[in-house]
Amino acid sequence: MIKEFEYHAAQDLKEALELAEQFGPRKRFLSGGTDVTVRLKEGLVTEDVIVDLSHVAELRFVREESGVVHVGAGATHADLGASPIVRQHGHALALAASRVGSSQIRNVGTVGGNVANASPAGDTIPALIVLDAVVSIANRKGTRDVPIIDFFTGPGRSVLASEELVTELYFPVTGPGELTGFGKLGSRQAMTISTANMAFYFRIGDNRRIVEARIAFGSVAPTVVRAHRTERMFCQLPPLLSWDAIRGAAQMAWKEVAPIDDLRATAVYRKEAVVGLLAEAAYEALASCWHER
Amino acid sequence: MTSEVRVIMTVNGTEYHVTTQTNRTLTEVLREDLGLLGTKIGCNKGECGACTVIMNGRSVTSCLVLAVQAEGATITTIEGLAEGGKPSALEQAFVEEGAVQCGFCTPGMVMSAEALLTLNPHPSAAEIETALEGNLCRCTGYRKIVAAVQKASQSRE
Repeated sequence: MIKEFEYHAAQDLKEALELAEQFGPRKRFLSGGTDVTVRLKEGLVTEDVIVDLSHVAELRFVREESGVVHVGAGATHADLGASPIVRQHGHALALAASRVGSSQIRNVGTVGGNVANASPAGDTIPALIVLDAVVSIANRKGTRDVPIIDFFTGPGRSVLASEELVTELYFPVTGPGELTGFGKLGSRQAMTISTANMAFYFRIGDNRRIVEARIAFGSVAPTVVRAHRTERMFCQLPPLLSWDAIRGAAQMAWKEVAPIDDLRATAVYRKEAVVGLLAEAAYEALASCWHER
Repeated sequence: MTSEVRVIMTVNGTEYHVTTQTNRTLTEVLREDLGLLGTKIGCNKGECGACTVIMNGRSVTSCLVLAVQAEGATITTIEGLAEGGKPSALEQAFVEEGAVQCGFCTPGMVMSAEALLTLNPHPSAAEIETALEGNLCRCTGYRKIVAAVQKASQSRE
């Protein structure tokens, strides 16, 4: 049984922001409900006002403008997984969105909710980090932009103030010579919270070397983290396809993550998991890239 | 504090005006207010898929939808599939392939499959498995369920 609460359905963004200002910390935003409604049932929602965003159509879009992909906070995981723009220009995000939950969850769960929840296990987050995404945030008075790497402050915590709403995420398009990927490990193939997840971005130079790398890991620290030392290892890889070399570079991740033992897995398991996820996905992507050239 | 709200939704082609509390789920309204008991409550937290219905063309776990969020929605439940009192081709395929054992997961399984076949009338086995990954069956081992969906897809245009 869900506790009693006051309910307001915002019809547009303007009304959502007015309600956010009016109720401040008393309110909880609800969109697809794949997280908030579960928490309501478990008695974990302390707020007593629900502001429903699921009818705010203007937040649900994916578009590309002047080399930048814009994803509305209300875009569902199914929208992202099926979007030709995201699949082409932010491949890791399409892959991550396609691995969230199940069809039913992806049909209603939104990318804005995944980000705003600030779970260290959120699947779209490492993908958005390696794509260098920016989070657009609005309140009734205006907007501000925060690089996604600076958005999270702890498990379930972010820089978002109580009267603010994530409205959009945007990132530069990836093009030829740029590879992105995503990997996830959970207790099942589907419908599972990530025990560990990973995304990467590589820019390949003319000499077949990786000249720029961004790597992010989830579920292995209080927030999703960048792995700068591991990135440098990938930039030092020889210009030949070697599993041993790639696996060796990925091994640096062991030193860069700080997981805990919890009910899903032990810390040691998670360290080994991120190394394996990165090595396998990176090898596969580099192999197919070089095969094409 | 929880106020009563009036929600207008179209279920299986009939428009309903439901007065309900805001803290009730779509599953509860379908079962308790509309008497549509084919939609099952399993885990009641979105993991098992027994409560799956089609809402505005997409499969959703109705236990995670607040009834008030269904305002203006078009919903199909398992009761809406039969044509002229006869099972739909998809339901018939479940029977013929032996894809039903205890039957508890079946309505949700059929609704996920129906949503898939509406968007993609001729899916591959892998696409069927992806579409059904949010539906748990503890009896059949899934193989006959996938076979039933494949069989039904042959009768779609």
